[in-house]
Amino acid sequence: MPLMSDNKRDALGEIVNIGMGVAGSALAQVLDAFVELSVPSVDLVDRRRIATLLDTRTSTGDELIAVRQSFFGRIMGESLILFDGSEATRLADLVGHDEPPTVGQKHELLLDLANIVIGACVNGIAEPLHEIVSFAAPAMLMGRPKVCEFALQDSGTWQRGLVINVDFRLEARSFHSRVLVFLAEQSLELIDREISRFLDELGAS
Amino acid sequence: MSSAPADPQAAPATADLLSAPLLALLVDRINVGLLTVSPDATVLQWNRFLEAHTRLPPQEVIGRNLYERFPDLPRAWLERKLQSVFLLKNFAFTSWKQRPYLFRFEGHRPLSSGAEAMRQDCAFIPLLHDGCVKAVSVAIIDATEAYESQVRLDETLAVLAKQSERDGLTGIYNRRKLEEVLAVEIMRARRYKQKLGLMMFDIDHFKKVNDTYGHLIGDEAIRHVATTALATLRATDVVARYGGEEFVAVLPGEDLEGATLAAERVRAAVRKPFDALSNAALSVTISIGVTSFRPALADAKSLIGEADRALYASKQGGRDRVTAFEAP
Repeated sequence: MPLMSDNKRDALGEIVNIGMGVAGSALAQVLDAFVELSVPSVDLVDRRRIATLLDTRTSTGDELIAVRQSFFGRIMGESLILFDGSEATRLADLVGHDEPPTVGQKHELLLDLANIVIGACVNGIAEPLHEIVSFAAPAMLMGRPKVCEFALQDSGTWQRGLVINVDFRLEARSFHSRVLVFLAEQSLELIDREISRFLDELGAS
Repeated sequence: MSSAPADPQAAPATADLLSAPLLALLVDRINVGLLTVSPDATVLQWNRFLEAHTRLPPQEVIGRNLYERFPDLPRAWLERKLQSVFLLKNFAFTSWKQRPYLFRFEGHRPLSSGAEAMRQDCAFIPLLHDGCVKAVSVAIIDATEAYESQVRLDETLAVLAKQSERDGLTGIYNRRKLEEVLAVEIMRARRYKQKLGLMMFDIDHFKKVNDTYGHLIGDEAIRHVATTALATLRATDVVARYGGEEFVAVLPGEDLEGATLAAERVRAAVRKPFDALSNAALSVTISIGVTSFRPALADAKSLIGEADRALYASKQGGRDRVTAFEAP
């Protein structure tokens, strides 16, 4: 049977959705704002399609800022959060700086927010599967060319992977961004197995 | 040779080899700063790396409140950061790029670093136990090396950016930069209906200067013309070395008459004797062609073409003179 059949992808979507609920309420506490996370979509994509996927799922704004962060454990991969440049600037409100923040402060703020949102989303995937992941430091990608080029570094170590897409929204501030979690091929077998186990447990109860 | 099956009793398990005391030693000696704090900000761990750089032994730090012990810490920010790790049970990070350091450690690389304090990357690690974060460990990593590389890279990029638009011999703009500037100035003149003058000049009988005095003196003559033109023209004018002994000056806001007057001033200033390498005062003259922008002109190329033709007329007319281009 092929890895990650339609059924299992749907199941993963459901599992991740539960995780997102938990993540959303934790985020709301830290950010002190009402947080909305969309129902995650789960796609199995081919290596060559990643870049186009990234492009079509990228906002149309001219200025684009992304933060990437890798995570590792028994499941490993890389996550990307995409901000519209002007929205990112508005985020300065969040921390309540009295004075206009410096560029360094703005970047730090974005990295912090990205780390929190990505952490919540990735843990929202890992925790229901009883997996523990660790994180590497996040890094900024400024501007559309940098962001699109990010997915084109072909290490040749994998052919396909899972892409989980979640929309993140801060209601009161009309701020939104998109979170993409890439799970590389090496993790698929394990996730497939864990989902089988999860489904069996559901069936047994 | 026979191989006996592994007997779990015979050799100590590898886990036992790294006993708790050894593990504690590793944590103490690792070349990363390790600070662990409880939810109420009491310091639980302070390893040797931190002791060495702060000269504070663990007994003077452990058990104390972090913010009271270190009043210089950015408290509001750090509290928020730690709070997010306790609440979200998730890692957090800081980079030297945005925040140079958490603790100020001076003089750790007295010989090899220009940084006044150690640049630090920090990882905030949640210590999860029974589903709750008991404490947070802050790993403080020396990032001074990355900082130094970045500084050198920035310096190199700045030099390269400058070199790519400057002429090596004279230090004035090169032809590439001139073409860039001229294109912008023509657009500006066209859009805002402003005047724009252009002059092209070269050193008379330059080959003879080289043959008589040598190439080093020839170089001196080129430098003399460049610096004189630069000093004579206005700060808003752009002077560039166009080719060997050939120069172009862009004069924003000048019509043909104004550009011709400016050219006369440059010609008169250049012909004054200058000190060449051999101490002997030497003098050279230049021939100049002048033109000005008109909306009917196609582009920068045609403007330079006109100045070049006027320059040719100056040469034909006996050199050491200025010729204004006559529009047909």
